[in-house]
Amino acid sequence: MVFWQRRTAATRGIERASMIRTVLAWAVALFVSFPFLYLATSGFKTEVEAPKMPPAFVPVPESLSGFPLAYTPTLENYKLILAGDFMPYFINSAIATLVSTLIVLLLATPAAYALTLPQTTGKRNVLFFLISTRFLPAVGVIIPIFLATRFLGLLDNVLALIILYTAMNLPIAVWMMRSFFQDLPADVLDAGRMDGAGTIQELILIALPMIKNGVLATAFLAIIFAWNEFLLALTLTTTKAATVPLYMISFMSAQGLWYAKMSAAGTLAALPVVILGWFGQKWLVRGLSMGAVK
Amino acid sequence: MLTVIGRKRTSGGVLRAALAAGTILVAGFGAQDAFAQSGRLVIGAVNNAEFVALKDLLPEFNRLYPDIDVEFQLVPENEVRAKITTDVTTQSGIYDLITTGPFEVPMWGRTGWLEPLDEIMDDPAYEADDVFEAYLNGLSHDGKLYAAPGSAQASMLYYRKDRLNAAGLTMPEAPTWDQVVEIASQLHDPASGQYGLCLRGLPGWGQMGAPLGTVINTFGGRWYDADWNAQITSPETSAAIKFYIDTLQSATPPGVTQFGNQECGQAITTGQAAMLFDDSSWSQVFFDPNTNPFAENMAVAMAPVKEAGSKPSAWFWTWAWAVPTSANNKEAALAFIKWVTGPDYIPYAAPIKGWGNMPGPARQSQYEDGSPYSEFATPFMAVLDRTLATVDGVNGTHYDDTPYTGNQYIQIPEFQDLGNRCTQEFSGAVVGQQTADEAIAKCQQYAEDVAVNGGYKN
Amino acid sequence: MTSEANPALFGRIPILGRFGLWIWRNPLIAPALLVVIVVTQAPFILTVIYSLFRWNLQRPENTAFNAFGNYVDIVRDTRFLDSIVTSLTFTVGAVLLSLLVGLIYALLVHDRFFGRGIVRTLLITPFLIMPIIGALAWKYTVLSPIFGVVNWIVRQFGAAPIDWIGMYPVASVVAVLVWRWAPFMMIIILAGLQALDDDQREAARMDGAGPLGEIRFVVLPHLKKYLQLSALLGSIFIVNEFDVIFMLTQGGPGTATTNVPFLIYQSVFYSFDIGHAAAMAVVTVLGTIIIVTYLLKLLGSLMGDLD
Repeated sequence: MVFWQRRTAATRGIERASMIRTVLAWAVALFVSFPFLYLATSGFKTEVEAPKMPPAFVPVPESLSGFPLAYTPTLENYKLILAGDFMPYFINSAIATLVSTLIVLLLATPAAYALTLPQTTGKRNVLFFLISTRFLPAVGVIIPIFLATRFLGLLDNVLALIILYTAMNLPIAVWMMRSFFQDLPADVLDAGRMDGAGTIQELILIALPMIKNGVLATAFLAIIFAWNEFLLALTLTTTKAATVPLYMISFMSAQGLWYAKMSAAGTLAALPVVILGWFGQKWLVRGLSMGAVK
Repeated sequence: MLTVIGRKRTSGGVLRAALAAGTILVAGFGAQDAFAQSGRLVIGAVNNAEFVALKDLLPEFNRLYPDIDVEFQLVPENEVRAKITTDVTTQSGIYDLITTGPFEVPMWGRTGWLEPLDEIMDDPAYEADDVFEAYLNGLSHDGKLYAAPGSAQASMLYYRKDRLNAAGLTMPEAPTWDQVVEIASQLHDPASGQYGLCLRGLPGWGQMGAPLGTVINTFGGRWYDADWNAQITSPETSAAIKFYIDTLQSATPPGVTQFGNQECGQAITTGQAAMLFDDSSWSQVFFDPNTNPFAENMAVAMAPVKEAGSKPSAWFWTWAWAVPTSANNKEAALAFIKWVTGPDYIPYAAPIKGWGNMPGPARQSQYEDGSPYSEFATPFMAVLDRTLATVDGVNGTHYDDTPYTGNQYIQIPEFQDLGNRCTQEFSGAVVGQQTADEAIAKCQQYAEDVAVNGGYKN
Repeated sequence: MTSEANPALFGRIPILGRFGLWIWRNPLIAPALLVVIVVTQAPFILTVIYSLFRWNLQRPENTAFNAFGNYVDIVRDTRFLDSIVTSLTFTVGAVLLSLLVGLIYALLVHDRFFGRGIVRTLLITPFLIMPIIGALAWKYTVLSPIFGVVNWIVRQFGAAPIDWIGMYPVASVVAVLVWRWAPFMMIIILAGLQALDDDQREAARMDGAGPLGEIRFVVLPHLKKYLQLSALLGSIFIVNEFDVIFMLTQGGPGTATTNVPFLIYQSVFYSFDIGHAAAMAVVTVLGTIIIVTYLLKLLGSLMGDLD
């Protein structure tokens, strides 16, 4: 009797709690997404409408304009930006991101594999050295990097960004790939005990196909970091090799009619990685914890 | 092209048509000797309205010089300065042509980082005699010109006639700062979103540092005395700084420590601020009904001074075009300078892009009666003329023995850092992180360090 | 590919030799390692050299060997010390708050409910958005006294708009950092929650523990390892934060939000004082190495044995 009553009360409590939790979760999610949802919305407004308060959220056809919180969406800003010079920046970003990611994979995969093999010595030192380079502030070495880039004739050249993004992403990629290799059955790794060409063959033919997800997850993370990188791009590129963040800094200060265009440009610039992230959520855990959490 | 301009013309049409025809004629000749110029021309410019408009007009330049492939980078002022200075001082050859100002040009010319522009000065078609002499002087070192002025700028006080009238107030043509602050405090009504005055509060030697520099000058202060002793804590300089901080705290919009040139301009065009002390180039935006809904009610006065009748206190500025010695395509750069600062650019561009997107002309002929600019500029021409005629780019202080040159800035390379750091401290005082006296004491220390470490003070 | 290859060649210089030999024996690791060494360590060696010179890009004639003069200057100058304090404030504040907020996010979306996928996606997005765009969005759509929604709300209650970034700069930066990094914490914590035995939670619930008791006695102890890991990794990224400060406050007002990376940036690109900037960079790196050595031990224990 008592037992039965307790159960119902508990069940009812859980139901109520889960209702509250659902509402709360949605409220928090909308609150957190306000800055970017509003930015995306403003990109579809006219320059006159965009900075107006109260914030207009509801897209309506022109005949209904004037209602509170409603605006008439327009593609004008996007047309302006795409017809303007946004695309070259976008293409540079894409090249720097994709090529560096490809090189990262080519270099990190064998390294991570070897760092999994039991006979490799000094693994701890190598792994810790790699990860410690991520602690160093890039701005601390920016002048030598600038001067070296100049010496090599690579200023305003996407190749400079490719090299730097490769070095920037390698440590995380090695850590991450290694965590996937470690999950492989022991006999696969045992086969790798053979030296030399045997190891490489083993890696390509047997181990690699088994960690397809790991390769994708690593690529995914390298793309996020390279696409969003700002300081190196700002310092080393000018026009020919300038990437999306350079396009964005012209919107840093308020001027004239700029709010809607800034919003549209920001949305376009953030979109590729955001979309990738939405689809690649499950890989994020592994990636961001650099393989520490499985 | 002629028909397009013709269709737009309303008044003074004959003259404008003549000018337009002249443009095309000269342009035609220009194209004749343009065969030598070709290749890639990389330009680094500040993303001001005038340069954004210029970027849109590049097809016209390419019509004259079809073989020059212009790559035009527009970046906010702080960042473009960082990029340009890094390029020029390390001789990296990133830019072929840069926008810069009278602060750097004489120093860089002396170091040999900029090409002298003799060739342009000697070209009769350039009509160098027509350019304001003060602006050529401000861009020269040792008698050689190192940059061509793309604009002539000084500072003025803008105000809303209607707001002053409604409060029964009047503005003298040459007001004192006390009068300005008195008017501002009467018009300041934050509860209804109306602010008395906008002044740059954004840290930076070229932001807050500019109006503050002129206030220091007119208060009889300066950065260093004849022996390079820092003077920030001197009675005159510290009074000026405190006055500036007080004014920012009491009469300006909220968030003023993030208000630079652009934000203050918007405070006028959105009707929030009743007055603004800022660059003369704003007059073209403020008095154009297309860019300012309150254009009808705008008026200008001379830059305020401390004591009525004392030395005028406007700042000195021009966005000037220079060619680094490390540039890869100097011929193309020179051709571009001749075009953009030549006699025909503004008459060609203004009808297309509007006066609000034009630089304040640096050529005297464009101020003469009957010129398109003088017609547009009627409401502010008297004050602007007087301001440009008296502005001093070499010595803005009230002293003859000041050891440095400059007006709102002092022409030593370390001033960028010094000005940035001091204005940062002052903005900290504005938001109440520290007292004005503490900020002034820190600035004094920074200034003293610069004098010693820079080897100026023995 | 034999391990005996030319040991004599490297034997002459002990450390370099051992390293060379190791590189020779590990051809699979060598390319990746060498790329990282060349790109990150070579510039650092140059930075150490620059730090010993008086060198302002704008005054080449004034360049001279300065021994430890730059180091003396940066110690004497309160700005550097202030920026270290600011860096630590941001790191500690943002990491702790992100942990808390990330934990709340994770608990909210761990169990199935209507629209969980969408909610989780929305919560993750701040982490994916380019940091300078995230900061730009905050600056103008949220915090701006003129365009910001927060101030519009404030005004609806009859109050005067507030200059959030000017009046509360540290809090504003921390808010944006937490907004950006809480999703990161959430992701790791979610992984921890998935590893948590559902039966354990059920049992606690059946004992009448209630949701809070359940979190307190079952979830948190289990998550300890994951929380440590997210704090550690979060610190690595946040201590070097530059983009958000660049976009949101430019280090101001005053020097309120000037952290170490931004101060070095200013020293390089606003005052072109390479000597000072290099000295600050060297001190920062040395300081970081000390902290990192400790943190890496922690990381090592979190990751289990590596060799």
